[in-house]
Amino acid sequence: MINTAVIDDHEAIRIGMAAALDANPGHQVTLVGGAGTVDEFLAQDVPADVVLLDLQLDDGSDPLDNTERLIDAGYKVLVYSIADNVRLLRRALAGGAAGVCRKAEPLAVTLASIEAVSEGQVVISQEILAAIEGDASYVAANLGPREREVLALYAGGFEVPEVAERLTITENSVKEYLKRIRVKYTNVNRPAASKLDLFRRAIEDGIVPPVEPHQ
Amino acid sequence: MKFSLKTAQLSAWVERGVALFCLGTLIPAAFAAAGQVPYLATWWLAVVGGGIIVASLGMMVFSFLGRSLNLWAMAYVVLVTVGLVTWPWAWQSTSPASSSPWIWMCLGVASICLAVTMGTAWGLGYAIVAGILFAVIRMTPSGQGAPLLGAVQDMIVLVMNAAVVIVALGVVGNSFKDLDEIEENSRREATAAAIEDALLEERHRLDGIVHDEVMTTLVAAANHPDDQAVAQQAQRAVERLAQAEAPTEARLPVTGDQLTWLVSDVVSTLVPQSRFTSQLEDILVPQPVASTLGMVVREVALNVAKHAQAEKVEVSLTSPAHGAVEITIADDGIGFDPDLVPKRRLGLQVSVVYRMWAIGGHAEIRSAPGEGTVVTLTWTPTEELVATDSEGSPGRRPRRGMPDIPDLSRPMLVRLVWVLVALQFLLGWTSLDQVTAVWPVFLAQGLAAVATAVTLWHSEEHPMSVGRATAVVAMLLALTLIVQSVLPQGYWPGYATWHSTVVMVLLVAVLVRGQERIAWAGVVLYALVSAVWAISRGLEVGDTLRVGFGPFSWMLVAQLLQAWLIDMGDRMNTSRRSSAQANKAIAQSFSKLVLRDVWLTQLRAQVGPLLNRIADPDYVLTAEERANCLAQESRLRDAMRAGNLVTELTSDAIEVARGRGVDVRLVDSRGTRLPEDVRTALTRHLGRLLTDSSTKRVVARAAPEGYEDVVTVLAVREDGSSELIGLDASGKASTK
Repeated sequence: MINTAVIDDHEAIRIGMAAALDANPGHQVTLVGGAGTVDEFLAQDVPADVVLLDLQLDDGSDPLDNTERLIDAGYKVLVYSIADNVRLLRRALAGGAAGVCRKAEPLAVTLASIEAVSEGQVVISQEILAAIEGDASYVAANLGPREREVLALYAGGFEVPEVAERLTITENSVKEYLKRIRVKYTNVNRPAASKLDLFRRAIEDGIVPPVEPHQ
Repeated sequence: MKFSLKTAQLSAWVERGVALFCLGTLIPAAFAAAGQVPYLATWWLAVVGGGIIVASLGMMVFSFLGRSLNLWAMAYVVLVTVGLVTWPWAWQSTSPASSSPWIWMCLGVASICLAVTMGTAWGLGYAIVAGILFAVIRMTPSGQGAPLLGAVQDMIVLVMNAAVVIVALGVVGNSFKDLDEIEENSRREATAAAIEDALLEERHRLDGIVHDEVMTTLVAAANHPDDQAVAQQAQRAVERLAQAEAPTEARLPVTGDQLTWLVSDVVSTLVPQSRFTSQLEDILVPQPVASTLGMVVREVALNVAKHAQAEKVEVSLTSPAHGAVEITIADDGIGFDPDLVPKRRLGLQVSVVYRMWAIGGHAEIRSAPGEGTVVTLTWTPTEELVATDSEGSPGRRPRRGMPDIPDLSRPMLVRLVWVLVALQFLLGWTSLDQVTAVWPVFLAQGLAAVATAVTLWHSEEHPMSVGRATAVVAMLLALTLIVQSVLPQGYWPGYATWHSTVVMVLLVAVLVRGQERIAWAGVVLYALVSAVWAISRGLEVGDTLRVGFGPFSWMLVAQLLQAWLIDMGDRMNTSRRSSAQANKAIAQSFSKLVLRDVWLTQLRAQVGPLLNRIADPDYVLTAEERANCLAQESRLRDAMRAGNLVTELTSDAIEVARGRGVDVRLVDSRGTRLPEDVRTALTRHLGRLLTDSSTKRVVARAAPEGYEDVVTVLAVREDGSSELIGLDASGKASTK
């Protein structure tokens, strides 16, 4: 079972999600909680694995803060939004959100995204990569030529096999590039307040092997 | 050429100054004339003397009534000239005059009058001619029979004094012209920025409502239609939209710039290939008229987009008559037969012709098959509208503005003061034969040079320091005493009293530099010292007054002008502040109009009925309506996320294609407006791909700025083949 919760300031969305999950059996997602703001949600101490987070909450909170606080509290974050304001989407990505899922998407797509995130995968959608590509200063400063090519083709609408075919590389390398771009972006845009934070992040991102306690 | 605000203020300012100057000159002239009147012909005194007084008074009255001085000024010039030329005949006494003809005092003023009414060249030319004539008359018995040197001295003084004032006026005039341009540009920028800001704010507010309420409602309704929470959500959305639509109390008229903005915004979202020209600037249109014009233009543009198949569309906005508006929309499309309009396109008739008629306007539709269509919309304000609009409306400029303190170009004025002082030195040197000893004159001139330097030191500081001002006054008094110690007994020593002009110029400079009390104290002390000197040397009353009066009267003129300018400056600032507020109010009022009559009208037409049905708790949505909820949500999403990429008609085509199961995605990684050529090309390509039944997926994307292809369009067909079209900045397509 995958425990999920919805943080959205619209009651209709929270209730709707519960109703939709009930009405479509045959999946392993359970809705265990919901709240209108991150504060409210954290106060409840909900035992969820994946949190569906709206980008624009009523309290005007920043998606980057929201994402970081949820991740710090041990949740995995899937952005669940309507129109994906690009700036807010970038903030959530920089905060470490694992993926994005539109509210208008069919339930099956939402379920698949929740499952992927709960398994620790990052959901790399065209949506996210287009948002990254639009951040021109980041692209110019941090991506290599090959990464840029892959990014441009993927953001332009090609699927992974088509990108691979155009660049005559394997599908796996395309996926690898996309994942690397995604991780690079997250790292570059995640402010690390202290050296300790930086170290922790590096461990989280698998750049530095975790320090195992002596046994 | 537009009426220029600042130059108008300057001319009002200068005219009053000249009038004041003419009137002020009468006082010393009257003293000078006192001793000469008995020897002058009565007819001459009546015509020239009386005429000059009447002309001076006339100028003063007209300048304060705000009417043109030209006739009075020309009369003044003519009278003074006639008086000068006829002076030898007017002189009735057989013995030579004991002093210089009093009319010389009016010559400089006349040349300034001429410079102001006819131009600088005329003024300077007149000063030279009058100077030569005066020198000639000075040498006749009626002109005191002065020697050549004395006559030339008089001529130089006359020409130089007039030239100094005329040049000063020119400097001020130029700085006013610069100020005019700067002010006009900043006014335009401020107006445009106020509109942009206000619109952006409204747009954000509306996007917020659309995003938070409308789209959320649509999604929730599509997924779980029969839920109380969804109905409530829909009700909230309807309420929020109604709130946004509520009329505001301020319905200010719409300016020409704003009308242009409205028309180009409405047309370019429908017909991206259109080109705009606007010559609407100084008009004001009531809001209801502006919003009707907006709606009518929208109808016309919709017709062009749907039926015309036009390559080029020209939209022009002009003002054929005062306050009137004429909008012409001309396309080179397939055209139609206007006789068939009532049957074929009732829509155009009702929505264009009748709507224009309802606001008192007129619509003319000219077309023929194969020859394109020209729609001309005209609106002319009714009489009372024109009347109210030329009065206190905020967009109007008053014919006569309030003067502003000119930011005088300092180096030029500083140089002028030096020139004036140097000229007095020159006069002093040419009068060295009048003094009892030579070295004190040079000592006094050295002191005068130091005083001038101290006065003009750091001229950008305001006020100048008390210490420096006091030092200047002390030096001026000291040099006055030194000069007086070497002046002769019993007669007027001519230009050996060069120091009085130096004292005057420097004390006026001290006054202008903000040390009024010290300057006035200086004038009073100077007048006392001079009076004591004149009386002790046994000079005539006229001469005594002449010595003290010059600096005193100039100080008075300077003081009055300064007080006046400061007052006007304050009023100018107040009016500028209130005009900035009016600007903001107009921009906000206009953006509300755009919100209500353009954006919300579109939104209501698109989702209004659907929202109402969702809000009805007893109504059960059909499967079709649920699908429509998702379709409309996608459409709103496209408009919000990729509004740069689509026109309304493309959105229609996208909606139909999505209904067929085509996956259409719009991505805007650019964020700023696309070049019109690109938009036109994009609309064409999307139209083609979306109506192609083999298309399975379409992704249109605006690349971030800096990419060679501004937009890419990817189309994937049923058979798996794909086509990638790149559009460069000129809209040229390349297939990859």
